[in-house]
Amino acid sequence: MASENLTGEIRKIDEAFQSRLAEAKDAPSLERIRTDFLGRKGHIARLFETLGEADPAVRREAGRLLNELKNRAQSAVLGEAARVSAKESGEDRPDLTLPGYAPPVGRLHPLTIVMRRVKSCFQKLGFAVAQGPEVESDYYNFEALNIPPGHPARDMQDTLYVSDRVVLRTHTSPVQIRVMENQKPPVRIIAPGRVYRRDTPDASHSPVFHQVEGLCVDEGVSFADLKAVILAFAREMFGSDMTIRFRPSFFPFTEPSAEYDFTCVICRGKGCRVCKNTGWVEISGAGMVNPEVFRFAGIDSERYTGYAFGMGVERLTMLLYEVQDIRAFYENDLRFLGQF
Amino acid sequence: MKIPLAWLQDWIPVPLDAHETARRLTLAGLEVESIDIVGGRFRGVVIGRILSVGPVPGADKLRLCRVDAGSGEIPVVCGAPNVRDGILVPVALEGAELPGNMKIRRTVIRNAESAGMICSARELGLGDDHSGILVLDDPSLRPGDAFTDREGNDFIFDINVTPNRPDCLCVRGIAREVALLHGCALRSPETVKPVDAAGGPVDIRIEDPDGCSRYTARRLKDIRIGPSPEWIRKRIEAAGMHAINNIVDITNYVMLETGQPLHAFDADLLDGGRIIVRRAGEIRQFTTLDGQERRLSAEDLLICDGARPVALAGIMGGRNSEVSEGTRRILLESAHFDPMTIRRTVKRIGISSEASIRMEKGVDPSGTRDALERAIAIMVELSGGCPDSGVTDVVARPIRPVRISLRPQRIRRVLGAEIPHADILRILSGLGMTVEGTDPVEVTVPTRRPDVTGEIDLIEEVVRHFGYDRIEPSASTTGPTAVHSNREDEFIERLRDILSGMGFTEVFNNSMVDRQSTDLFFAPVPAVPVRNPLSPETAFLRTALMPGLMESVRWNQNRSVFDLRLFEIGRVFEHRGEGLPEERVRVAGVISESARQKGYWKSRSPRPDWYAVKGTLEALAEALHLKETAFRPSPGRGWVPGTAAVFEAGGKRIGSFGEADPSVRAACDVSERVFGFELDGSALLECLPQSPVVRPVPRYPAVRRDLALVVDAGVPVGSIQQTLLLNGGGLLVSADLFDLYQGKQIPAGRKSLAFTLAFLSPERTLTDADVDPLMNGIIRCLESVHGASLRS
Ligand SMILES: [Zn+2]
Repeated sequence: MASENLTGEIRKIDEAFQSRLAEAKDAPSLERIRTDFLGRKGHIARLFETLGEADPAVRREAGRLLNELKNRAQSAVLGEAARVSAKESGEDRPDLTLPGYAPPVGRLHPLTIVMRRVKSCFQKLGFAVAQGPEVESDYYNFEALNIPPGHPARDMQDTLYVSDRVVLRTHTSPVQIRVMENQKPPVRIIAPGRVYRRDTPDASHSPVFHQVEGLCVDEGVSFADLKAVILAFAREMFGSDMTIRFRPSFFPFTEPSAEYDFTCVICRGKGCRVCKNTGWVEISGAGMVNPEVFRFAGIDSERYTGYAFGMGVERLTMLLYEVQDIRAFYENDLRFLGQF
Repeated sequence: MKIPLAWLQDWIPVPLDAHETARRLTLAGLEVESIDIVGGRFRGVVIGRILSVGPVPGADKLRLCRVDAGSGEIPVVCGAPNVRDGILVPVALEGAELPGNMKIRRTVIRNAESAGMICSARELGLGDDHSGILVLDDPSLRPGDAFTDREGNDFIFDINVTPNRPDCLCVRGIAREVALLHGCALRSPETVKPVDAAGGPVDIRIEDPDGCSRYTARRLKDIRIGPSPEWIRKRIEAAGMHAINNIVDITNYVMLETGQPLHAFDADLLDGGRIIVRRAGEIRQFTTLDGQERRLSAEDLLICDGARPVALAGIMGGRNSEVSEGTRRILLESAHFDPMTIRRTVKRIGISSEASIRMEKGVDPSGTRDALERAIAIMVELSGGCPDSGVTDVVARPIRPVRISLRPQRIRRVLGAEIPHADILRILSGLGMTVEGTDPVEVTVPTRRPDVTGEIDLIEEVVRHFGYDRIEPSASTTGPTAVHSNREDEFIERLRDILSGMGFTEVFNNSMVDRQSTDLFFAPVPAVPVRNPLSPETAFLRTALMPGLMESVRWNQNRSVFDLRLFEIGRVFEHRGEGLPEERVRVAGVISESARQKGYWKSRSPRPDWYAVKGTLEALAEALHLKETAFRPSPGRGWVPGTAAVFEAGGKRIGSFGEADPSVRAACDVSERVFGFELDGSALLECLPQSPVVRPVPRYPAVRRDLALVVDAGVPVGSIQQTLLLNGGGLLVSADLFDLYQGKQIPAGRKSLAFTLAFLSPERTLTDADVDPLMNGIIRCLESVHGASLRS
């Protein structure tokens, strides 16, 4: 067969295909086109068979053209089939107001969200995450923190006891001691976790709540460092306009001890109901590690100094999201949890 | 501790502003929690801003004002000529009391409602001006703030005294701080008039010097018991105590002033007029003056007369020696007792008094005599009594002032800031300490400060009065420390992300549960009991998470919130006798949907069931790249029999799952079906691969064949899959079930299964010639092993 014949034949088949396709209206007619042109005994297959008999000089060019036609025809049939089927099922014009088929959406608990933010902030500042048991010995929860039996400071927290020597930890501070016993300075840790108090539940008290404890021990660590780290945290958490206020307070395990306040996150310091018009909201306690605590942990308090701080995760969460009642965190009502 | 500002003012030579004094005290660690305004000529008056002024129909001279009174906008009718919008005025709100017994009520004047009154100076008793309302021009005033009568009011401070500061449980102690904060000296209000000695000493014997270091006493005779004068009554009542009679009130007054508890005995009721301080020993009971019979323990410290106990030392006197109307002679005690001894008795008996609150924290052992003499002087003046003995002061165990060296360089190191030497000296001496030398500074601490025992305590005192706010934040130059990542913590956070990504919402349940809850699920383990729970509902620590999740389901379903997919990650506890319990992290989840849920509009999605939980675990295993996972039937408490199964990975048991048993649902008050799982966090972490093993993707396409067959209904699909894979000639890489059918078109007792098989070679593209013989072999095998028949 002459080369003109072959290429002309290919062009003819191509034209026939185009006009048949243009007329195709439904899936059966498309299927017929597919069989006629692309089937095992279709026009294109037939032309491929004749290729072998062609002059080697034209075989190459004719082969290229034929392959190109085959590919184009295949995708044209597929595309047209998709269009036809979409039209038949109405999917070419979806009703944008009908609900989509959505996978279920899960939420993290607000306390997890806030605890992660706290952890992330301190991890960026070089603090590692440490853990300790929720049920603690009296030694770690009190004694090693310079709260000996009979100390008036034991009255500051109502403790839940398992036995004379075992308590539900009233704060995350025992983790300080456990870490210092196992790691020589420098130490820079935060300890997030659950704590327990014998408090009757109300809008601002829960017998179970969460704290994050922080501890930094090294040579040359000072009260000024403590203020710097708390300030950095305040700004990361609540915005760069935050200021902090330290007020003297008393904790047996720190000295000097402080309560620290942030600019009221609701009114940004102008005065409102939440801050009782003071412009400040109380966050938690902090201070320099008491040398007595270093003595219990076996750290030389002449060489090393350190600071410790705590914070209540529920309190931070309530401030961040203006949650009014702490009990909401433990009721697990999806209408509450779904908002975070 | 409650203190009237006027009482503090007695001790301070400069005039005190209530709010500024409160601010300074708070910033020095004596937090003023509230300021109560008492007395004065009026109450219930606030600052208001007039927002608008309009007419009152039918009344030419009256105006209807809208006033911002802080808590909201209120209408007030006012007839004053100088009323105009924008001004700040005193507004007497509904319920306010004004001079002349005038009470403000909500009224209607000419059909205009009025919710208060804008006041003139005369109406408030502040002057004679009644030409118009009082216009306040201080721009710092805010609507809603109390408008106070600066001259007639007194302010009661409620100060939160931390337990390390017993010296501040009195007016003098707070005044000392206030004086230092105002840069002035402490002023003693009245000098104690020495009262001449008369008669012999009091017979005092301290048998227990550990319990009582010092006992000071004096007798007074010719007392006339009666009410105390108003100024004493007002002050002790303002401090929260009840006025009783002149003698008792004076002991309380001096205690509030000096911090030293005093006790007056009726001297004529003391056997032999003697005082013996001793431990209770064999004495078993004692009736305190509140009429309560107290059971004693041998260690309790008692004051006895010649025959019997007459007081629980430092806590409360006895009924048998109480001062009464007929008392003519008293013995006044001013003593120092060991705080720990007092505290033990207080805790054990569960008794507390204003005296014991101070005694158990530590009063000044050097202060007994001054306080006694101050009280005697007032008593002589107000009750007509006169001394019947000299001041008898027995010191059984001297307590001396502590001396501490303070290194200025240490202050610098701890604070990270320089404090001028002059400030150090000013502060320490202002606190009554004796200061000598410069480096180190040698400090002698008065005995009233038992909290100051070391250098760090002095540093705290210095910075407390220097001002925490004057220490500038500055990050130290210490270098980076090692990175300690916490694998467990990071893993738990990853689990949270995976589960929430799969549509589960995280819940937090109380770890304290009731007894029944610890028995609902899984093999019973000994629960950790809480010895002093708030209620029986929280008397044990949880042994599993499932019961808490059931409670979350109940809570939501009772509020018509259905379609629940919940998870919790938290610790569970197992009792281990004397030591600490075992704590394990668990991961649990539930799926529960109401039959009332209607599903998707387009095509009905399947209702979540047991397979949804299994699928969750399969997806979790996939997400975590767990190897050798398996599901095995295993009866477990709490699950419907037959649905209970364990989930294994790496050959180890990770946890269990199933459908919550109806009996458990009934116990938890849950009406809908619940499917759940509970896994052990550390078991999961242990079988976690360090990192997934990555292989190149196949280079050749897979050949897919569908296979439909019919087998007996009881044949597990997994065993057929196993047969398929074993007979795939090493080329069959997956056999996925895509249809399961039982019904009309299938013989009874049989089921139809349809699989998609994928054959793949790493070396070449497979052809029908490769796959056909494998398919034939597979089919023969299925027929012989499982009794399967091919379905066309
Ligand atoms: Zn505010």
